[in-house]
Amino acid sequence: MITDPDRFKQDKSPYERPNFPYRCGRIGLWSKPCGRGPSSEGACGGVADCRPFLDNGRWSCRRSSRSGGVCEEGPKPDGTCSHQHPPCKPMLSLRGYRGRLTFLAAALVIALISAFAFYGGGASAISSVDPGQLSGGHENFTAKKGCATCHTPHGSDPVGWFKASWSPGSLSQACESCHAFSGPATAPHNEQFKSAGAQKATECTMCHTEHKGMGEKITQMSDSQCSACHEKQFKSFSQGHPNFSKDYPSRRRTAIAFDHTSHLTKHFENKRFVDKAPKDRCISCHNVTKASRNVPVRPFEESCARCHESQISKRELVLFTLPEFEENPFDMEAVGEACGPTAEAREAAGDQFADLTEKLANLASGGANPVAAAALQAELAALKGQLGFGELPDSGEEYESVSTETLPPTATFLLGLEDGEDVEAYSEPVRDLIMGTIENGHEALLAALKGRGDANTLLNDLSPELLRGIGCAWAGNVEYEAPTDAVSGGWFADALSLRYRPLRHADPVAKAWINLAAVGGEGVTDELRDMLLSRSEGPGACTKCHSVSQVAAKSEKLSIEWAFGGQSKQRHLNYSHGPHLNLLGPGASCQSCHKLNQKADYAAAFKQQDPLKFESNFNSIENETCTTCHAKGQVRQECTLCHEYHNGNKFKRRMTTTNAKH
Amino acid sequence: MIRPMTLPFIVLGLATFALVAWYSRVVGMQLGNPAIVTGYTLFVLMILLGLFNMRKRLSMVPVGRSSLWLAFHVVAGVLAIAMFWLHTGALWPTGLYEQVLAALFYLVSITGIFGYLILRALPRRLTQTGIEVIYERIPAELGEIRDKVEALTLECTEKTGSDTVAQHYIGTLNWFFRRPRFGFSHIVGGDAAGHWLRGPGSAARRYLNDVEKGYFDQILELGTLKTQIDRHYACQDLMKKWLLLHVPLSISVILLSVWHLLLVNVYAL
Repeated sequence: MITDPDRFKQDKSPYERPNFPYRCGRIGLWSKPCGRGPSSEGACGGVADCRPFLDNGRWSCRRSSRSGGVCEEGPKPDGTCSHQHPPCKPMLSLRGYRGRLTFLAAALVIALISAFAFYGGGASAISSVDPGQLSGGHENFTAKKGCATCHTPHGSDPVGWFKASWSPGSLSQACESCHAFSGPATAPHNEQFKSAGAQKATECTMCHTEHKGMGEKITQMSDSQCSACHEKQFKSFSQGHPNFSKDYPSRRRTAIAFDHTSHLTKHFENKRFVDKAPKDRCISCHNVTKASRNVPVRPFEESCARCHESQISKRELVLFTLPEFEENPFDMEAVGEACGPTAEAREAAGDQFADLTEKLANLASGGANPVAAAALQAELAALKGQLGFGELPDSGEEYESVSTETLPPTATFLLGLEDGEDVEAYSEPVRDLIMGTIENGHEALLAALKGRGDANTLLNDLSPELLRGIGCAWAGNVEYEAPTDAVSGGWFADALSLRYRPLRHADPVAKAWINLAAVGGEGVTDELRDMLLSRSEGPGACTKCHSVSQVAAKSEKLSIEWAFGGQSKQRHLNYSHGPHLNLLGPGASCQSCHKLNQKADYAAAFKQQDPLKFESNFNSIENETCTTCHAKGQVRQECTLCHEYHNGNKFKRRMTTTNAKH
Repeated sequence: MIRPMTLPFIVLGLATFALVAWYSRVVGMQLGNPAIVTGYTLFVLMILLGLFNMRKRLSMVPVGRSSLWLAFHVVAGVLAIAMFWLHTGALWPTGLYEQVLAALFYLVSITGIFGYLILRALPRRLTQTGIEVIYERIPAELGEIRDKVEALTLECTEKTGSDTVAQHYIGTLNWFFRRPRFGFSHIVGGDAAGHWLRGPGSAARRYLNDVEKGYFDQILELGTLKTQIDRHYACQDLMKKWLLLHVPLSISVILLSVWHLLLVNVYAL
């Protein structure tokens, strides 16, 4: 007992074994356990007080002193203990309980994992592979295939799982099945930077982490994610961001050569134009309602036409000029056949001409018998002579060309000639072209332009009657007499030339000829280019405003920048004028950031063709311009506010088709 | 008060956490997956925590004192909680499986903290009883006390010819001596057993003569002794039985973590 100071002596203190799975059942009754205790299998070991020992043929008691020592009764003759008790029901020890509970918990966990491993595809139902709900956009289209939409090992056998666990993941490839970019998907910024060294491949999951819930914005990036790759480390935009480039935001000259300085400080102040000058300064020409990265310029008609429209129709294109011939190249009989009698001859013949015309029609339709046909032929020959068909000039008369001009470059281009002054070289092609226009209208010209530009646009609205008229006149070596009606625009002819006058701004025919000269190619000579791209005369005056730029370095191919803006290569910049204008208010606020550089020689940049050699009308925008507002404690300044990581982020068509079905 | 043997583990734990937090940040800055660093660290910590149970089973193997293991277990357990938050980045993850895992992890942590607190608090209370008793022997001790009380009652009846003490034992005291009583009061440090002994337990004393009082006082002394043993039983029982929750939950968390690790390797890496 606890009051006994000797209770821990070896003959009084039994050895406790709490790590045994069973304890004596008497403990459950809060009484003294038997000295022998239960077996490891849980069977009662205390039915008898001792196990008697056979010593020299006699059974002797072996009861321990802790249980009362040797008993008086001693063992029975058959060797059994005389102190028999009913067996107890051994009870589990705490260790035993713990072991069982642990085993039960482990078995339950394994069973639940196995049972719900792939139930419901892991996507929508209870599943032990469910790592959380996908973001809104991904949740919908993965509903059909479940996890396997992105995770290729899903649903494979254990071997597949084993292989997948030891091989690199293919999640980025799964992303690429729907997402597409303008450059390599796993290259930083989807670009191959020339200046960078060996670029590490990226994975989509480096920045975009899924399974964080329906409302999670997985495209939202932190500044530290951007800093991960960039060598230049800085704290925030307002603290350490590299300076903007010296020519920011203009990386190249503008598409339209509009000199803000001269217009704002000179022309708009000029008394002659002051009534036409825009009253609201910047927003008169720039449409702030459509402001995004650029603030687009309003159409020509709204911004420039008041001063410049009248200049357009003055710029004529000379397509063809009748050149001088040393001798008549035309077969006048053929010309007569093609062009018919002159108006004077028809008037002189009177009713005879109408009668002849009727008979000719009958002959052509086979309405007469052979005898009548022969008579008609004879009468026809007589009448033809009388009316002057096929009349040849007197061979004794000296030929004098009505023109003393040479061929313009447009005509040499049409005829495929190198030189417009070599009479011997051009006589025959000119004759063929004129005869062709007489007989087939502008088909001859279309044939001449075949494979060299958009012939239909180049000759748009060119009338066959006009071509036949000038052809017959020039083939007859006379000047063409144009109708007396005033020509406001389009194709027309004067005495010796065929011309085109632009109808309006962005006239398609004028643009087509200028584009033809700019692109170059077969037959486009320097003379033709000089003529069509001349800023001082002809349709090339368009290039006074629309800049002419090299398509590529050291390339002779040029392009005309017909449209405003939209040509910047700053793909990763995501600036928008809209919110700034809303905040600052339109109009004069533009000059808060865009300050005129009145010393810049803006116009000089448009006299050459390299768009990167330029001087902007405005001073460069510096960091301080933005950090005035975008700084800590003021307006947002995270990287993604202005920069866009991906290059040409878009969906593949398959994806959009799928969406359309849904 | 931090024990001297715990201090090195605390320093080691803080250093480990700082190192892992720093390295995971570096990995994150390099657009790697910091969850891999923190996840594997957490898994290793769980295995090390689980080894404490193995250590107790293999007491014959000389692998350090149990108190050292306990100090390590406590520090590593707290470190595991911090590592768990670093790993998930939130108190509660998304995804049913992860939520089950987190719930069990929190349960293991809570039971662990509870176990640590009672292991710090209850032994002091047991020392205040002035006796020491082995948990497994408490039923035998209670049995012997009960036998003694019954023997005294019989002797009193035989010697005095009065059955007042016997009637009181049968009617009242027997309930008290049959098994441990007032467990909750003992755990929270109350003295409900003493009050009971002095109240209902002693109610018959005024009806006893001097001889009977002598026997009755001996019975009450044994009752006081039983009260102290009851306190040992209540406290030691709690100090052992909290493991019935902690250990099975721990093995569940480890098994769920193994599956989680496998899934991460197959699906995400």
